[in-house]
This record gives sequence, C-alpha cells and structure tokens, in this order.
Amino acid sequence: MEIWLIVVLVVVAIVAIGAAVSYNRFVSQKTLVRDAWANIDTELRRRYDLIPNLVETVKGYASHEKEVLENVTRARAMAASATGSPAEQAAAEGPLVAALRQLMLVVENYPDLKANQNFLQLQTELANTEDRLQTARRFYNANVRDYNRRVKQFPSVVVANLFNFEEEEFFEVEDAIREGGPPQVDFGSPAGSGPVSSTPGPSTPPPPTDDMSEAPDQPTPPNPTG
Amino acid sequence: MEVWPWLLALIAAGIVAWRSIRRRGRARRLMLLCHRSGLEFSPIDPFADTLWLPFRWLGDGRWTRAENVVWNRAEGDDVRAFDLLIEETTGQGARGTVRRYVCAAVALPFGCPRLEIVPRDAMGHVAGSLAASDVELELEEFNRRYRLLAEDRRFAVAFCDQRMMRALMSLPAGVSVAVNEDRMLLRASDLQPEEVLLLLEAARAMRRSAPTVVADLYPQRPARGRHEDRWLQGHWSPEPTGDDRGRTTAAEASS
Repeated sequence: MEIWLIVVLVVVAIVAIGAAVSYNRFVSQKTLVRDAWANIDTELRRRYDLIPNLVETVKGYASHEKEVLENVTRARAMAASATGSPAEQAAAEGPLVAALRQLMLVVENYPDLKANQNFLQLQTELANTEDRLQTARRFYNANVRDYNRRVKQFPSVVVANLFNFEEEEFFEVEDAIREGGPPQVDFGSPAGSGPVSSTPGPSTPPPPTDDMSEAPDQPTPPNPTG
Repeated sequence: MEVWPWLLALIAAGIVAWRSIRRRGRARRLMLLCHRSGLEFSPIDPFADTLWLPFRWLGDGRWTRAENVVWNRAEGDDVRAFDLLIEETTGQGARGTVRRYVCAAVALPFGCPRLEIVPRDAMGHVAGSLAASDVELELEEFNRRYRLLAEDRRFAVAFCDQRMMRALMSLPAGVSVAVNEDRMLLRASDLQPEEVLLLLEAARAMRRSAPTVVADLYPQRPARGRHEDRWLQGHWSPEPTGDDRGRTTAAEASS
C-alpha cells in the first residue's frame, strides 16, 4: 500500500516538474517572439524615417510626379500608424511596398536624380534597411515556428491549453527594393508603349526571383569521398 | 617459438613504412597540384596560428597537428587548407585512434558568435529534437540535412539566408562548417589531394555567399590597440608593437 503511494507521488512529482519546465520554456519562447517583433518594429521605423527624405529628394527632380509621391507619403502614414497584430501590420505594409516600387520605377526616368549623391546614399540606406528587415522578419518567423510547433505538439499542448498559450501570427511582407528588381524592358512591345512607364499602374507583381540566380558564384563542391 | 616476435616486429615495421610512403605520396601529389594551380604548399605548417584558430574542432583530442598546408600568396594567410591530424581522447588515458581531416579556413568580414553546421545523421536527428541550441530554418530540405548549433539564434538565422543554405546544400555529404569570430572553417574527413583544392575553393565561394547584412549586424571588433599584441613578445614592453610600430613612426615623422 505504501509503495503504491510512493509510486503515485513520484509520478505526480515528475508530471509537475515536466509541466513547470514546459511552462517556463513557453514563457521564454514567447519573450523571444516579442523581442523579435520589437526588432522588426525598429527596422520598420527606420524605414519610415528614411522615406520623407527620399520623397523630398525625388521631389527636387521630379516634382510633376505628384501622384506617385503622394501615394508614398499616404502609404507611409498609414503603415506608421498601424499598431496591430503582425498580420495587420503586414497588410498596412503592402501599399507602402507597392508605392515604393512605383517610386523606384519613376526614378529610372530621371538620370540626373539617379546620379544625385544624396539620392544614392538614401537608396543604399533603404536597401540596407530592407536587408535588416528581412533578417529580423526571418528571425521572428523562426521563433514563431518553434513556438507554434510546441503549442500543437504533445505533451506541451496540454500545458499550452492549461495556461492559454495561443499560436502566434507569422509576419509575411514583400521586400520593397530587392524583389521588385530592375524595370523590365520589353523590346518586343508595340511602338509607342515605351520601355519604361513613368507612372505604372497597379500591375501584377513581378515573379519572385530565385535567390540562386542572383548569386555571382557558387561553391564548387569537392567530389564525395569514397 | 622465437619466430613470432620477429614476425610481429616485421609487420609493425611494414605498417610504419607503408604509412610513411602513403603520407609522402599524398604530400608530393598535393605539392604538384599546388604548383600547377599557382598555389603555395608546405608539408609542415608555416603559420603560427593554424591550430589556434577559434574552433572547438581544432582543440579536440590528446594532440593535434596541422600539415600539408595550402595557401594563395596573393590572398595572404587569410585563406588556407590543411590536413588536421587528431588523436582522439579515451576515457582511460590510453592512446586513441588518430584521425585525419581536411580543413579549409577563410577570414570573414564580420565578427560573430559561434555557429556549427554539421551533417545530421540518424542519432543527430533524435538528439537535435531535444537540444535547445538547435536552430531550424524555413527550408525543410536544409533542416533534414544539417543541424545548426548556435550560441546566438539571431546570428544563425542572419547567416544562413536562402543563398547560403543553397550553397551549403551544394557541398558534398560529410562536410561540416563552423563559424566563429571572424573565421569560417570547412572540415571534411580524409579527402584526396585533388579534392583538397576544391574544398579550398568551396570555402572561398562560401565566404562570397555570406550575406552582407551580417557585417552590419555583427561588425568586426575594433582594430587592435597600440599595446594589444605586446604579449607576443613574451614580456611586457612599453613600446608599441606589431602593425602600430610603423604607424607610430610615420606619425612621429609627420609631426
């Protein structure tokens, strides 16, 4: 009788310790997700801060591209004011990304602007911010993936249900500069349409580029050893 | 009865001679290949710091030795390949098996925490699911093939972007990669001399594949101070040392 009691107590103790460890891991994972989101927020703010300067610089050379510039300003204001969930933030980022791409297409028509040192510096800084944002986004999504997996997996799902640990949302947003790529020049198009449109409409997004195609060179692997 | 000791000694001498011939043959072949490729070769390690590179793999074992070092004079000592001999440690203090690896080390333009990318075997898969430092990325194919052991998860994610993951997957099975401070090391089990040069080229190409954003997030530590490498002289010295000596002289001349 006493042995059974000891066995039960040991089992209860093991379960309690397991639950405590699982709970603590959930808490640290959730903190990691929050921290990763804060990183994204920092990078987004950095991008928002760059845009007014970019718009002002473009305005100096292409003041009659009023509609494009207004679109960027409006989209930036909307995105900056969005303070919701990752999905809501991603939805607010969409128009901004589209507007920025449009702006970059417009810039192609102004060689003087493209040669402007201030503009080049801003463009470099924006590209750099995009890279940092992409890294922050991948880090956030990696943490969310790990966390969500534990929320669904047994036995941690029991602890998750018990303490209301719910699945987190992924943050998926397109890159404004990188994936847009250079404007497509179609020499087969009818005369008069022009190679580059100054005010492109809401056309279909370009196909996603393959990362490997951008790679200047790949490692030449040694042959597998026998 | 008295024949056996002689026979055993003969067999032992034969094994030693065969190993020596094989070792010299490998060195000679590698030397010829380097000569044809315009690379430098040394059968003994001419660099003082090869075994002091910041990797755990170089410190394992009762003893380690680097030999058959290949480098490119144009690139300095930042890029080099070498054979690494390690005698494995045994619990009882007895002599362990000597293993030979081929390594290629390159310098990186950033300073980073430790990251090891090792092929995932069956046991690694089980252990990986339990280890907290294991990092899984968005490419399932990559996760199935490699295990990422990282001190800093953020760095692991930043370093292994899509392009780097594909570059890693193009390496043959059995090649492990380690990154620490401002160095990257590729390690494979015993390769043929021709494959040593390919491993060196792979290391170079991997360096080119490293995402530029990592240098922004993990910049190199500040340049050496005036007296930082004073310990290299073996005693304390009030004089500036190393690279700063020339700089100080130039500054004094200009003033």
